[in-house]
Parts: sequence; structure tokens; C-alpha cells
Amino acid sequence: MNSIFQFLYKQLHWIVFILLEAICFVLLFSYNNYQSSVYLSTANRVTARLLNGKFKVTTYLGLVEQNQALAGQNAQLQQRIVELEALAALQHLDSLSAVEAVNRVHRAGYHVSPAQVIDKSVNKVDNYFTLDRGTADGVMPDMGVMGVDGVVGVVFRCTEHYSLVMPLLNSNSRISCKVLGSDHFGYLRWQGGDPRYAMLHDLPRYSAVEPGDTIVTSGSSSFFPEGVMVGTVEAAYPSADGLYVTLKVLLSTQFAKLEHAFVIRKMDADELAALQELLKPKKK
Amino acid sequence: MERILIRIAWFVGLVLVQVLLLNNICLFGLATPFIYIYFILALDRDVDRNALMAVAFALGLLVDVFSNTPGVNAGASVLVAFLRPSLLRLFAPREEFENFEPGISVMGVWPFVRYAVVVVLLHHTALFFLEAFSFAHIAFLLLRILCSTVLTVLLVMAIEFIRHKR
Repeated sequence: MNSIFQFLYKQLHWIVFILLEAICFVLLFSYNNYQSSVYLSTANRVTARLLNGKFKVTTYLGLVEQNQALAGQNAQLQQRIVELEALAALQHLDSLSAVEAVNRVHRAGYHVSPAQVIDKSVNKVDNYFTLDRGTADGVMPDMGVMGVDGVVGVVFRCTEHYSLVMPLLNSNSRISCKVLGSDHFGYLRWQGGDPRYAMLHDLPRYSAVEPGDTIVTSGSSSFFPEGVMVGTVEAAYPSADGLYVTLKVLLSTQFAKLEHAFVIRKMDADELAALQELLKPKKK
Repeated sequence: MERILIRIAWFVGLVLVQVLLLNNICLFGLATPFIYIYFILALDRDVDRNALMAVAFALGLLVDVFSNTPGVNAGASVLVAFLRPSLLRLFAPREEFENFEPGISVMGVWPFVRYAVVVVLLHHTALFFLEAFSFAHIAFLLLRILCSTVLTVLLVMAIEFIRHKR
């Protein structure tokens, strides 16, 4: 008996080694499955605070460009207001019915709230972004996130004040997209490598697509409304069986520069989520 | 006591530099330095192997938490911590009984470079393969490992020369 213990003690470093590596592999494989692992991410309070501090410092470095982008967006919105006002005048809408119409759209549609990207990576296989908004601000997992230029990703996990976003630049990310002006849709997936490009798979062969065509969200999931900008077609490749085409898409969002984002909440998403919660099998 | 405090300061400092600065670097879309490994490289020889692995695990996990890659950095760090005593015997075959901290002043510049290259290469290979977990883009992956190793070793040597400038 004693010799067994002595043997074990001599080999203790092997046991410790295998044990620690086993823990690492469990962490590695369970990350995408268990909600509890939110504490091992940049959305936990301590790490997010630190990254928030860093964000506050580094955000000054890109201030000029960010201002220009926001000014550009302001101009676009201003333009929209002018157009819509003209349209309203044309339709002889009085202000009361206009308010009513807006409310109706609001009720049927989506709610958009701004957030800051306090941490991000674009050079990994599975990238994640951290936003400075959490459940306390009404952000919940499975909400869509877009930037000034287009789609960013989907909220993955939340703590009270921060949330983790799975952007397009993640091997687990799939977003249903279509070619603008047609109803053929496929799913967008990132191949890794260059953060400017992603691939749109499973588009029917007969859908005539040309380089330069615009790719938008299809609206078939509740993450995004229909028609949010995703990118433009760079090239098209037929699949091996000739039934589908795969498109190389130049993403409109410049992920490496992203600082401002908007969380999109579908208005009846709460009800939908409650229903799905009921359908889910109970687990610890 | 003072030595322990200095070590804790190194630990915290390296993690902060890694997560706030170096994690955002991706030179030419290829090379990302992982300087925190210097803590394991330069820990003195007589540190118990199990303690070294435990420290490496904590170090890696801390970096993981900040980069949303749970288990990746920790796994790679534990691996090199496990192999380090053997490697150290290989590259610094000193039969002296006294303890020493691996570094250019004790080992000489080239032996230390060789030791650092092997440890960093092992660490980065484990790290990048754990992260990708596929052999799909193997050429790109190998290139990333190679470029990142060069960058990390350069940074390690820079720290060494600053510390031991005479």
C-alpha cells in the first residue's frame, strides 16, 4: 500500500498536469453551451470595468473619424426627415394621425437603443464584442446588434450592465440574408481570416447575382428586421453540385473600427421568449 | 517577502500589458505576441513543478477571461509549465546546487534565446491549435504560429536586455 502512495507521489506532476488540462478542455468545450460561463468572459463586472476604463482612454484616439461618421449619419437622418415630411405633406396627414402612424409602426416593429463597444477582437477564430449595456438596460440574449454601416451580430450573453455579442466574425455565427430586390435567401458565415469578408451560402443557382449587388438581412429571424445592410457581393462561386452559389460578401461594417452600436429589440420578442421558455425542458 | 511582492507585480503587470495592449495587436494580420509567457520563462529553476503548473493555469485563465477564449491560454500555459523543468535541464545543463532565474545574465544570451524560442514555440503551437481546433487552414495557422513566436521572442529579449543592462 505504501509503495502505491509513493508511486503516486512520484507521479504527482503527471496527475496535476492531466487534471489541469482536463479542466481547460471542459472550459473550452462548454463555453458555447452554458450560460454560467458568462463569468469567464469580458462581460463580467471586473473585466468589463477594466476594459471600460481602457475604452474611455482609447476612444479619444479615434474621435475625429467617429465624429465624421456620426455627422454623416446625422446628415442621412436629416435627409430622411425631409423626405418623410414631404411625403406626409403629400398625403395630407395631420400631426395627430402621423403620431398614430408612428406608434403603429413602433408597436409592430423594432426598438433601437444605442450602446458602446468597449472591447472587441477581430483576429481570432471566435471573436466576441463587449457592449456597455446589460439586462438593466433591457438588453437580452438573442437581440440583434447593428452598427452605423450595417449588421454587427447577435447578443450572446448578458450581465446586469454589460453584454457579450457574437459578431459575424465568429465561426458559430449564422445570419439569414438575401440579395436586395429578390426573395432568394441564404445564410452568411465567416470563414476566419480577413475580417472584411464573409461567405453567403446556399443561395439558389438560378438567382441572378452580380458583383456589386447589395446583400441585406432577410427578416426571417427575429434578430433583425428585413433589409438591414450587410454588405456587397464581391464574387460568386457555384457549389460542387451546381445547385447553389456561394457569394463572397464585402461586409459593410468595418469591425476593426467599430465603436458605436445599436441593439435592436423586436417589440413582441418578450412574449416570444416567454413562450420559448415554456417549451424548453427544465434543466439546472 | 520582497521577492514574492516583486513576482506578484510582474504577474499583474504582464497580464495587464497582455490584455489591454497586446491582445489588440495583429501585425500583418498574422502575428499576435503573448508576452505573459515571460512570467513562466523567468521563474527560478527550483520552483516546484506542480506549483509552476498551478501558477501557469491561473495566469492563462486570467488572460482567457479577458479575451473570451476560456481554456485556450490556460491549456497552453500549463503544457509549457509541465515541460519547462525538462527543457531547462536541456538548455542550461548546470549541475550547481544553487537556484537560479533563467535569463541572459545567468545563461548567456544565445542559450537563453534557444530556451525561449523552444518554450514560446511550444506554447504558441498549443495555443493556436486549441483556438482553431481544426486543421482546415493549416498553412495559415502555421504561419501565424511562426510569426507570433518571432514577435513574442523579440519582446522577451527586449525585456531581458532592459532588466539586465549593464
